[in-house]
Amino acid sequence: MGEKREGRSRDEAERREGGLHVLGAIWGGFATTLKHLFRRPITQQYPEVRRSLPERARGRIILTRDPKGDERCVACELCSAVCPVSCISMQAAQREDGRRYALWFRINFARCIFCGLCEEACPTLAIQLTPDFEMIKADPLDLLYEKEDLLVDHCGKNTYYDYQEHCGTGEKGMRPGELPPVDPKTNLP
Amino acid sequence: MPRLTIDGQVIEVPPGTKVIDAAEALGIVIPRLCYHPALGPAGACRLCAVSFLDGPVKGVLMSCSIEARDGMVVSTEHPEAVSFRKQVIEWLMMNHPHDCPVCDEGGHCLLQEVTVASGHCRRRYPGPKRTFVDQDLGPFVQQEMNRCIHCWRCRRFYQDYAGYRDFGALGIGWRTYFGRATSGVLESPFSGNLVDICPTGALTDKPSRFMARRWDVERAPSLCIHCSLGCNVTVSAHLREIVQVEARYNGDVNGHFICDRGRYGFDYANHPLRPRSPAVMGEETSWSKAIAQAVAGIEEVTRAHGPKAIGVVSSERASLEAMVTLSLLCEETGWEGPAFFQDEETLVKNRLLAQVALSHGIAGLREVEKADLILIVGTDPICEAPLLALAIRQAWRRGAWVGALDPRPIELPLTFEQSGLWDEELKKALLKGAQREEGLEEVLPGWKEALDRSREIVVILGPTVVDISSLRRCGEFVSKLGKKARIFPVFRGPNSLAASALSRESTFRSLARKIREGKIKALLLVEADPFHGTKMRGELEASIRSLELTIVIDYLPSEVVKRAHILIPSATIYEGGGSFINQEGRLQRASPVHRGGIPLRRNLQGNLRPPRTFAKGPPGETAKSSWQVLLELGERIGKGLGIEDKEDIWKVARERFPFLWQVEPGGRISWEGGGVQEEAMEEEEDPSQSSQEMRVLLVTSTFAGEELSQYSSKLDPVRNEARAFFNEEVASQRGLRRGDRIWIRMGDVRVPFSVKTSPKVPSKLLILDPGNEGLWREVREVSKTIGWTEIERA
Ligand code: SF4
Ligand code: SF4
Ligand code: SF4
Ligand code: SF4
Ligand code: FES
Repeated sequence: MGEKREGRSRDEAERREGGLHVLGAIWGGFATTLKHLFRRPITQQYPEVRRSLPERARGRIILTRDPKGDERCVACELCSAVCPVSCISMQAAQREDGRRYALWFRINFARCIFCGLCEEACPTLAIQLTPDFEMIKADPLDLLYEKEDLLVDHCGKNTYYDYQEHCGTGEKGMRPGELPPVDPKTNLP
Repeated sequence: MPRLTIDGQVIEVPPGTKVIDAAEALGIVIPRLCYHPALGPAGACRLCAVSFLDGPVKGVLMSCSIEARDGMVVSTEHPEAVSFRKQVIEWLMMNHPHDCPVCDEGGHCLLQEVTVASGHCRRRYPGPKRTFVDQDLGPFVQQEMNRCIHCWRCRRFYQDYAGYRDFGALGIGWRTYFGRATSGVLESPFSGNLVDICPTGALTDKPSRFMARRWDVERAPSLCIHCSLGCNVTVSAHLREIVQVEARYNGDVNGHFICDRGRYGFDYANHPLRPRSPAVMGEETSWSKAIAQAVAGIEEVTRAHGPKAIGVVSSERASLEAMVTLSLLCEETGWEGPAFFQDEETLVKNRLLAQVALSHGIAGLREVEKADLILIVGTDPICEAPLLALAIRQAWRRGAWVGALDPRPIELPLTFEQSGLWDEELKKALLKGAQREEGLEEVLPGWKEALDRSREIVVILGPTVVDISSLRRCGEFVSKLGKKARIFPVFRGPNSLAASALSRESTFRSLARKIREGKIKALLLVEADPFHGTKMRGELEASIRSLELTIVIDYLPSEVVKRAHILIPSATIYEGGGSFINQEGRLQRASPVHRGGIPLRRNLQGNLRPPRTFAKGPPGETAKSSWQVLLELGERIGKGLGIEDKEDIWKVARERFPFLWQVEPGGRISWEGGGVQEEAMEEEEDPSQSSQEMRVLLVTSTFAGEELSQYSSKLDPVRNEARAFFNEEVASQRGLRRGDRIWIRMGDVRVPFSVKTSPKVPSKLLILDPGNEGLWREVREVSKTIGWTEIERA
């Protein structure tokens, strides 16, 4: 019984105090509003004003080129494999010089969720997300980007990596870190 | 029976079992790269190390090389073994180019799998990598030697298992190179197996190079229908195109391997000219219109001339479902047919062969492998049933004696005796051979001795070059050899056995006769091309032209398709699946692989990209199997069979044709041959007896002459030219040498041939292999004999 009474009295005390709190909060709110009324606004007038987003912001996807200016993508299909919404498709093919490349490469941005997993999976650093997020189209078909829409003429975020230097089509034994080719027809040491 | 403990589980295995297999029987898969059940252990990769804790051997040892023994206690997860395996991987990857993204094996690579499983992800060794220069190994196998881990599987398969010598290991130690002495096309017709067997991307499939990743393809278990063996395969389709066929293990049939015809013959399904949409008089039209036209046509002919005026033709490549539907439909409607074979002779031969084989105990590839005496009569294994040659070789490696009676110069990857006997002499020899007289010993030295010590005899028998009475004689011969002898029949098509069981009297020739007599006015051809391999092209063309109505249901751009009034495309085995009965009477089923349609590759637009349009279904989808089309036709002309789906067909067939269907898929049927009338054929007399002319024998070769694979562009690079085989002496008397070019006049066409000579060819015989066809297609009639006046030097 005593407990109960005690409890009730505590409730009452809280209610009284709570009333004070509410009042305090309301005044605090008004005060803040009042304060901001005399500050300079921080809202930017998009689209008149466009902020530059951090380099790693995840927006429209591009296919970059290696430092030599050649396509980086080798159509390994790892990005399309990892893509959780399956919006990347391509067909690998062999170029005249033996290099593997994408005959066609298509990203359906109507489906893309800009998770960045493709960029993470890409062994050649070809596929990269850019901070550009402004992709509004009236027709979903216009959000279907082909290789020519995706391929850019720069290296993107990484300016030095060249996959082909390590595992490419270059002459056997001439790439960095390789011994000259074995001559299988001799048994001499 | 040794009992051993692996990871705490006890298992008893047959003596001689390797520890790696014993573990697998328990469901424990020990990583391996060089071990392969068909090739045995090599101990080359050191990856299958496990810890032997107790028993006859102890320590970390290779489970693939050690036989299970009593009392062994094996741990696959012992820290010592695990770290050993981890180091092996790291060491194997030391020289690896790490180029998975551009490697076609990536995604189904054994090396990749074990590397990821071991946790190795960073190359710690800073030194340089070993490199090799690659070779061009021909159209099928792509080499990238830097990826090789020296498991020796390729060499062991190519030289030991398959018996070809032009690919092997060069050099020593870590510089060992797996390739040929110089770049060049691999000689073996089994070279594609290198792709399956290489556990890395060192040897990959060239025709499907860069086409698709394993995780992107539609795959399904299927069957090879390029010969009568019915090898099991796995087929991959990507973007509406069949891209790759691989061997699928079936211990009862093909084992682990298939031949290159089976592996690269699939491309007929992607053929640019393949009929994709129904057509009436060559004009593309809709399904409903084409069916309506066909129904109207059939009804009109039936009204005017009765149901017997409609002939029905199918072939040995049709699925069992199609054959059964067609047979039932003919019964229901009273149409003439179905005819599955070209002529009476072929029909009788096939039936007889089936009967003889089934009543003497039929042999399959497994029995061949186990045999210790193999006699090949009238068959060229490499050409007619390629994988059979591999099975014969396995028997030969175990010490079997192999002999062949065939007029063709047979080539097999093993040592064997051959005699070019045929016809009368063959009959005589078989007669004598059975009575253990010297008859066969004379022509096949070693026969008698081999016969005396043999326990399991297999006689391989084919119906193409042997005539009817020799076939019958062969049956008698085999029964004289006693219980231990079996017959391995080699048929022409994948479903020949079923075709001979379901055949009535009709053959294509008999229907053609009725067309000429004016009794047949309309022809329904279901997956059949009478022009394929015909000797009577002129006659055939005239008959077909005189028809009022030709309805063709097929998936090949065949010659008869071009002449069809109404064309209804059907699904291939890859789209529709189907059941087939192979040469040993085994009922097997293929699953559909994909829905079909025009390959996207053919549909690329403008800037080489897929079309940017929305569509409800893929273009050119022809997923209707021929039996479905037939059911629809039957329904529409009021002769419904009450069949809805495949299950129904099987149910009906089980009642109506119990001899074909009382087994579950995978089992062997037991058909007693269904009786062959003795008088079915009067034998033709030998026209060459009296004249200076040579008798002509038409044969096919491995990569040219089989109906489906001849439409496969993948095989184009290995098809042989037209060849004429002469007896060596006869040829030299006429001044002809091997490799000479000649023209042979046939009617008003001169066909070019390249001369081949062999002492084995009988002197009164001229063996012609049309090879890559070409001018051959113009020949209106192939005469039975050819004289020297018709042969001239080019
Ligand atoms: S992961 Fe990179 S290299 Fe591979 S296909 Fe995608 S973009 Fe090309
Ligand atoms: S062989 Fe295997 S591990 Fe090597 S590159 Fe190819 S996929 Fe990768
Ligand atoms: S080429 Fe392939 S199969 Fe041959 S040794 Fe190298 S890894 Fe093994
Ligand atoms: S042996 Fe015959 S069934 Fe087997 S893969 Fe070759 S063609 Fe196909
Ligand atoms: S699998 Fe045993 S050593 Fe290679």
